[in-house]
Amino acid sequence: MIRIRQLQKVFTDARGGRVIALENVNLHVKRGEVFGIIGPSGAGKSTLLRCINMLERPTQGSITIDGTEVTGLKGRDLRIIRRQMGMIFQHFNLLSSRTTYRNIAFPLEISGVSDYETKERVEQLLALVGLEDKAKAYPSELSGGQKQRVGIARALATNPKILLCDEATSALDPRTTRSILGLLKSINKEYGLTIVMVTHQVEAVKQACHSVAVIERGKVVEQGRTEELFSRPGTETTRGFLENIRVAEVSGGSFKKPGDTCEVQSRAKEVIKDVC
Amino acid sequence: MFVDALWQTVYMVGLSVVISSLWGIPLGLILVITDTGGIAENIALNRVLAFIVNTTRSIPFVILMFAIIPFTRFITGSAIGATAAIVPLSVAAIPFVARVVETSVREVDSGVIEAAQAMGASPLQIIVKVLVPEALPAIIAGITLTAVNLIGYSAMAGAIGGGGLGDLAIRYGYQRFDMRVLAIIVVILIVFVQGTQLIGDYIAKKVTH
Ligand SMILES: Nc1ncnc2c1ncn2[C@@H]1O[C@H](COP(=O)(O)OP(=O)(O)O)[C@@H](O)[C@H]1O
Ligand SMILES: [Mg+2]
Repeated sequence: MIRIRQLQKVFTDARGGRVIALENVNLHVKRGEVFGIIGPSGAGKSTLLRCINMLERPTQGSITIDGTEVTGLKGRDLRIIRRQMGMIFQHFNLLSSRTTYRNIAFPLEISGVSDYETKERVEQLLALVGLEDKAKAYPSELSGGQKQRVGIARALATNPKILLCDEATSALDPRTTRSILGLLKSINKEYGLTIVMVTHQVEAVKQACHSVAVIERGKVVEQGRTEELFSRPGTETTRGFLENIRVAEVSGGSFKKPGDTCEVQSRAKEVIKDVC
Repeated sequence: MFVDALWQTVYMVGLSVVISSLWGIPLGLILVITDTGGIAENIALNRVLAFIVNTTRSIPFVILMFAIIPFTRFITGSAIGATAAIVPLSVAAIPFVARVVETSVREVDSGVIEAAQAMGASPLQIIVKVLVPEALPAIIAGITLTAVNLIGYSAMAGAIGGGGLGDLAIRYGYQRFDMRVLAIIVVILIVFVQGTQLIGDYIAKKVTH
């Protein structure tokens, strides 16, 4: 469904220096799967995701969606492709001047859907995300979890084929995170929606993703089926990642990196026991 | 006498607010969207407009008023009277409104703009459906500020026969030393400014969610 080949993204920072955010990234996201992209902060996860809907223009490489090359698209053609992809964000990015109803109606409004059809669709979506009673509420009157539900409903309004999620649960508490991930999983199952999920939370990947790519300093260091990759991590990065989470859990949130590789591996086994 | 002068002031300020908003709001929006990284980046246009706005803003109102008399005459056919005063008042207020709108629109969360782009919104849709509604409370507060400033400027315009409360204050209060008239005018102006502010605050509150 989504094929990314030899993708490179170079930013020019404020002082004119070159920041290589992505280097030779190759990925294949299959139709109907929940694909996780995990890695530490600054690894290039958001940049990679934003290249898929051209919020960020790649410096080099190719991205095809259902065989259509998107990297060269501009103007109207780009807007049409974008309407086939929904996106949700860490900070929800709802319009504060609009109610829940009108936020969900927004993508329909901009694609010229009639009021009658809009009403039907929005009511359907409100039911899907369980916010029928919040139709008239403004974002300022909603909790984080409710805002993300509005974000999901809005992203699904135009019946996209793909949903892009950028740290969609990172601003939420663990319980709300589980319920949002549950909602995404059920949407994936029921509608066969392809989901690409960027996160730095191992838990989120474990709970929701069929496949995962681990990315560090702009490079994909490892990818595969989630259970396989997390039970037999092939790289130090993945191990360290699983380990860090473990240590963070054990020591109550403070990160500590054991220097000894053996220790890392033995601890990783502990994690694996937990995971599997 | 006071009632007539008050209505003249209301007329001058009211029309100037409308005209300067009609020009200043689009100008402010253009300043934002044509800037580096904006949704319709055009650096050359941006710099030219910014230069015009800055230049007009840096000319003191009294000087601007005299400097554009030919232009005023060209537009209204006269250089004196309340209608003529609307020209310099509007010219002075347009760049002010533009800057206020620019600042307000820049405050709109870039994430929200990005979300609209990701949904396939066109630049015009982003302006009309995202930037303006999201910045509306701040824009209204800015236009209220413009109106209050214009009340002060309109009193100055009175000095060149613009009519209104300022004109009355100069003719009776200053030239004839009628302190009673002056005091009444000051009270009317205070009430007028407070009233304008109250209405502006009320509308801004209505559109804040
Ligand atoms: N607009 C930009 N200009 C310059 N550098 C950027 C820009 N966006 C991201 N970067 C840089 O690219 C790298 C990857 O960023 P990002 O994709 O946001 O990482 P992540 O989402 O994994 O935390 C970082 O080093 C970041 O500083
Ligand atoms: Mg990120």
